[in-house]
This record gives sequence, structure tokens and C-alpha cells, in this order.
Amino acid sequence: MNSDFAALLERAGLDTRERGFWKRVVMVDNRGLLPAPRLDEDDVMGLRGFNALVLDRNGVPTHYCKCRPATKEWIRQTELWARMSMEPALRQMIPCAWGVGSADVHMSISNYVPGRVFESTVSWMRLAKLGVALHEILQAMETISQYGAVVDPDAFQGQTHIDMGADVEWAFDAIPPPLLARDQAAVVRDAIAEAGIVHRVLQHGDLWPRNILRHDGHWWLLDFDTFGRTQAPMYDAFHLVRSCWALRQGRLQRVSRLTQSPVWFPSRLPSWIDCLRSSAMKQVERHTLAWARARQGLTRTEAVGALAFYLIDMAARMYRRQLRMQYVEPYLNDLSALAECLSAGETFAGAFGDAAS
Amino acid sequence: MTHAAHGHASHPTADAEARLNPAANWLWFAPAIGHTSALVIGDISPSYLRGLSPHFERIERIPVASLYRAVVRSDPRAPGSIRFVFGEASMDFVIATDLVSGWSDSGRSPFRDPRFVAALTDIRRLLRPGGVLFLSGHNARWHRRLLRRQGPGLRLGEAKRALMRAGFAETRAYFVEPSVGDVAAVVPACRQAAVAYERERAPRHGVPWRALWAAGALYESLYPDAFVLAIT
Repeated sequence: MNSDFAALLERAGLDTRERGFWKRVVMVDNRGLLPAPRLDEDDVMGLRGFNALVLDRNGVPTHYCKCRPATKEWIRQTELWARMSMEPALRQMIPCAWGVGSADVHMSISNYVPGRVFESTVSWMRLAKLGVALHEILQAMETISQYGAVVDPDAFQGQTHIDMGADVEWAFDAIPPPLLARDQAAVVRDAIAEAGIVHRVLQHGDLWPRNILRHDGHWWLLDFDTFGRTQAPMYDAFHLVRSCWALRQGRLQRVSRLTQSPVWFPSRLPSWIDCLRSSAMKQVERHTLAWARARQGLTRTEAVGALAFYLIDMAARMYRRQLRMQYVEPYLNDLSALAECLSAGETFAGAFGDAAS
Repeated sequence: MTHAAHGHASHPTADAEARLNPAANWLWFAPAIGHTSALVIGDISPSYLRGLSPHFERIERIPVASLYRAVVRSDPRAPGSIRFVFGEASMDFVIATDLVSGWSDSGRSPFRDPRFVAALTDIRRLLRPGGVLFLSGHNARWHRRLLRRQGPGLRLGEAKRALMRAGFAETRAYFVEPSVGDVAAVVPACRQAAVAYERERAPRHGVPWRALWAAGALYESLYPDAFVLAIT
């Protein structure tokens, strides 16, 4: 077992016999025992294992390793990421990565990109700058998605279109009724069904500011563990805009904690959906969603269906992974708010532009 | 996250297993060791014990007190002595998570107790060539600085010196940071590693002062737990 990690690092091109090498390996994210007693191809299995940061002799990080159970899906995903990172057009968007494995563990190793994490700047960015950044990031993701489809032609499983309703039906079963009322679930389900069949687009699946770096004048996207899992259009755009919004809202909460004045700012975030439909939503976030909808060639009805798809899919995955409810609840609140808005006849014309439904 | 087969039912059992104390992943930092037998000295949490079980065919256990008594008697052939019970060079791995805190209630560092070094020597003799002792405890510096509490915590410098006196060929010291969600980080006990780790985590946790603290050579006070891997 233990020799496996050293052997994996050796096979990945590192000299573990170098004096003091083990003083330069930091286990940064230790989340479940390896080897796994059994291999299941599910979300939870993908969370097992640990990440390691490898430093050079000067203490500068050079490589980032992710060690996970050797499931077919994880191996496929690491191989896909490796092939994509070799594409010349993506060399300044995705860190160069490769994978090595043993019976117990499969490791994805990538070059460490220093850069500044978008998460650390997004809260304080000027709106105009944020708007430009969001557009550039989503365009970069669009390029990666296009190349992903070329590198892995099987990703679409021979289908150019996706029936979003059928694809996300599992998520309605995953969330129990006390968390999402049946009538609200029905409204959300109807919205997705109304969107019908749309073209498939490979999505990153976890495109949020912690997985985005700014380095050397380029946006670098990280963590392709779930790339291609979701193929519903606009999923990444919703996740990016929503998480930026939450981080900017959180900024106010952090200020309120520092100033000890909870009266000024609410302790709970308001619903993103409420903000999306009201004038409280910043212009830049609305513009980004309208722009993304137009780029994907979706009607407003399809965009609303894609929004419902995103929220139910994200909530169900988080719930299934048994994350703490404080992380799942905001998505459930958004789902409830979305259902209420749709029941009240909201069209989200403000959020998605005035394209005909 | 990884790709999920749509339609999978919720899997609480698998998740519960995944949330086992992942401490046993520290084993991946040890050099290559055998898989046959391990000895647990003292108390160990059940989840931790389950974490060890995939790695070893046989896991034996003894209380700290019996190790203490055997050393006090100074007779390796006496019943109760660990070498008498298990035999020399019989273990691939020895794990002691409360040996340091459980050795003495005097509040004095056990590494200054010659009997403790004798016990470490006994443990070293139990190990096969290339075998590993995992010795963990509270990081004494963290507890002293943050909680103002003196106690028999793990002083890494003392521990490494004592282990070398006990005849171990190599020691590797690490800090451990438990975190919310049962996540633990394992940081080699040196300034460069601590600085790199703190810089890596700073953007998400908003605690750049920790990186500054690490860079200012106070890295030893940043982490509540520590362990040493001693290799024969």
C-alpha cells in the first residue's frame, strides 16, 4: 500500500528517493480512507482519498496530486483530463495533467499553476471588471467544452441533444418531500419538461471561483473531476454566476461579523432566485446570463428549464453526498423560490433578456 | 466529485464508510512496509481501528500500562513484556496514539523519562527491518501557546531525539490539522511545507495571517496534533 504512493509518484516522474523528498509532500485534503473496502461508481466514492501538494527544494509547489479509488469513472476522467491538457489550444487554460494508477489507487497529477484564485478577488471586484471576467471565463469554458467533445467523441454517447426532463428525473427522487414540497417539485419538473430537448454541451460541473485561477494574463480552470457529467447547457454559467453572487453577498456577512452589527446585514443569504427576478440583481450578473443564453442559442423557456435543471441537480447531488444541510439549504430555498415565481407567472425576462419564448 | 450514474439510490452506508476517520491515510506517507501484522498500543478510536484493518492481516492490541509495567521490570523475558508476548521482529507496524499522553500523569514530558526511551527501544525490537512506529499526540507547542496548557504533549524535537536514541534509523515528523467535515491535513514539520500549505489554503479560509505566522518560524504553533513516523 504505502509503497504504492511512492511508486505512483516515481511513475509520475518524481524522484522520491531524493534526500528530504518526504518533507516536501503535504497532504492537503484528506477525505476518506484509501484503499476503499469496495468500489462503487457513485459520487461518494469519488470523494474518498486525499490530495497532495509536492514542493521543490525551495518550498515552491510544483505538482498537485489527487489520489482516489481506482474506479472506472475516475480513471476515465483523469485520462480525459490528461488528453485535453495536451491540446495546444488549451495549454493556457488547463494545467498539464497525467494519470498513473495501481490496484488500490489511481492518481491524477498536474503541474501546479501558481496564480491567484478567483475566489480571493471576486468579492471585491468592480462590477465592470467582474462582468469582463465572467465573460472571459465562460468563453474559456466554451472552448474547453468544444475540445472535450473532440478529444472524447464518446462523451455524447452518440446523441447531439438532451432531454433535460428525463436526464434529471433521478434528482426528484433523491430529494425527499419534506425538503421540497411535492407541488413545488411538480412546478420545477414542468418547467424542465417545457424546455424539452436541447442541444448537449459538455459542462465543467463545478465551475466556481475556487476552481478558477488568474495567472500570466490567462484564466486557468481547475478540477475536471466531473467534466462532461452534466451536458445540459448553461449549467456552468448558472453555477459561476450564482457562486459569485453568493461570495459577494458573503462579503457583507463577513463585514457584519467584523463590525458585530448583524442588524445591518441579514445573517442568512436572500434567495438567489428572488434577486434574479428583482432589480436587486446587479446588471452584470443579468447581462452574463442573458449573454450566455444567447450564445447557447436557447429560448427564454429553455433557459428557465436549464435553470431549474441546474438547481435540482445541484441540490440532489449535494444531498446525496450527505453534505451538511447548511450547504444544501440555499439550493433548496432557490428551488422553492423558483417554483413560487413560476407559479406566479414569472417569465424571467429581466434575467435572460427578451428573447421570445 | 466524480461522475455519478444517474438513478443511483442514496448510499448512506458507503458514505458513512467514506467518512471514517481518514487518519489511516497517513500510512501512505510511510515507506513500504509489510501487510502482515500491526500492534496497537493503548486506546484507539473504533473508526481508526477500522481504518487500519484493510492494511494488515492481523492487528494485536496491548494497553499502555502493560508496556509500562514490562519496562519497569526491565526483564524482556518476563510475562507481560511485549517482546515476550509477540517476539522480536514480529510486527510490520506499531501504532501508538495515546502512549505519550498515557505514559505518565506527572505532566512531565515522557521523553525525559529513561523508561520511556526503554519502552521505545522495546517497540523498535518488535518491528521487522523496515517496520514503522507511528507515534502521535497533541502538539505540545500548539497547546502551550494557544491554550496556555502544559502537559505531556508531543514535542517533536524531543520525540525525534528519543526515537534515534532508541535505535530507529530514520524519523519523519508531521503536523496534523483536523478540520470541519472530518478533513485532516498532514504537513511535514518544517517551515517550507507549513508556508506552502498555508498559502494554498489562504484564499479559501481568509486567514493569510497564518501564512505570515508560518513564514515567521512560528509554524510549530499552528497545528493542534502531530505524529512521528519512526523507521527501523
